[in-house]
Amino acid sequence: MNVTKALGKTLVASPERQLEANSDWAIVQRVQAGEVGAFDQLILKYRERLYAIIYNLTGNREDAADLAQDAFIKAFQSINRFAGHASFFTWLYRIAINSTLGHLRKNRLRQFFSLDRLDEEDRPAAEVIAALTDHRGADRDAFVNELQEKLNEALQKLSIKHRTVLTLFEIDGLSHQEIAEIMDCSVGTVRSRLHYAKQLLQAELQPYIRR
Amino acid sequence: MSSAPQRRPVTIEDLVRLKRAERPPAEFWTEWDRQLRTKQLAAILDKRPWWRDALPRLGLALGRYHLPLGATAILALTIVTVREYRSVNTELSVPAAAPVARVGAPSAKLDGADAGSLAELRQPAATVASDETADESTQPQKTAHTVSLLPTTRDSIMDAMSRPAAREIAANLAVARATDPGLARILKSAVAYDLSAPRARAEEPLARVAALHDIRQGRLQVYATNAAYTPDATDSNSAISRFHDRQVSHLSEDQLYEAAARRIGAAGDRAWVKF
Repeated sequence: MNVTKALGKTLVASPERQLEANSDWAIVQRVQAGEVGAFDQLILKYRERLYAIIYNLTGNREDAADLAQDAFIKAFQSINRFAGHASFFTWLYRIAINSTLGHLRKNRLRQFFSLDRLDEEDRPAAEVIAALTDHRGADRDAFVNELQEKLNEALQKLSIKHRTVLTLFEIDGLSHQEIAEIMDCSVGTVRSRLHYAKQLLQAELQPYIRR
Repeated sequence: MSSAPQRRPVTIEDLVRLKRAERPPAEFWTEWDRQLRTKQLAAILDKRPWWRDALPRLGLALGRYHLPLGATAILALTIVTVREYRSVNTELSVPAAAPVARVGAPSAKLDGADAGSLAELRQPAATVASDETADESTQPQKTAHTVSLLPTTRDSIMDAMSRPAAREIAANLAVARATDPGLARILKSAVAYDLSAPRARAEEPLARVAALHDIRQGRLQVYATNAAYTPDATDSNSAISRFHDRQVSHLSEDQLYEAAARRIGAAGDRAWVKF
């Protein structure tokens, strides 16, 4: 393993990520060797995460679905060029995010939002909603819808770069280092963008914050 | 004793993480998979242009050799520069018998045989005029002099002579004069700079101001006395006499305009012209 490759591996933060990266690399090698069907494993593994990232960046489920598919196709077409310097998911994320940023820049003046339903069986989400409201039934649903819309509006007010960093860190749970790799910038830049994005969101969502 | 249920605080992070719970239903993925398969097939069947694969590979291959390529380029540039510099120096050290067409010129020869011309270069520029009448044996010195474009101080002469171009031109001219007297004559007529020719006398700025003052004064006098202004005989400024002429011609123009006004006229709805 050459130095660049070793460095790329060390940049992957946690041991779980390391294991994940190794198993992905094994699958990629199989695809590169001609076993095209092995790519389906990578699709199944990453489709939801990739969709979620794109969905939170665009705020549109149809666009997110299309862009996620395109990202997988681009990755499939370029799989022979993937040399394993970074982990597969970093590479795949970079493809997806670049496509999404291109799409957002192209359609800056034409934005439509279509949101997925909030899964209320998700425990952390249910706790937050419970802390915010005592309402039951229809009132509660209306409150959740309103909160979703306000949250989406606040996210869309952020610049694309700030929104990307916030989404990758808070929603997808990536580390600063991983985000820096994906966005091709320094860790300091990631931290600063994250801080700024949170400040803006705090100002926008002040009525929903409970201390 | 009963207490109100303690509510957990809600931070901005909690609110943002609500987005994690926004998920599409299960059937969404069935449709998504079907669409992906269709797109994948289309992508496989669609023949990609060759450069889409070739260019990134080329970039990747070159990227690996960035540093060696850069270092090699710098080294090559250095070698070429040093070689060029050396070749110029060696050409300059070739003896004076080199033909005219040859660019190189003997610097040693120039220093030795043309020592006279160098000494002459140190002379004031005005002395060159006397060389015009000298015979052809003195021509090389004079022509070499024209090369230096009249640097008069010792430093500027040495500086000019230290330039390779100046040395080459001087040496070429010297060789040309030595080998072909006819060419030397042509060069003499073409290149020699006639310093002995009288130059237009520089006019003092204050004298110019004085002349303008005289003109203004003269014009005022003419206007006041309605008489022709006669310049002082001792005044050598021809501008005043020119002014006088202009004054006369100006008066006749007035008369001409008056005559013209008499010939052209208009009354009521008619206009008339007299010929």
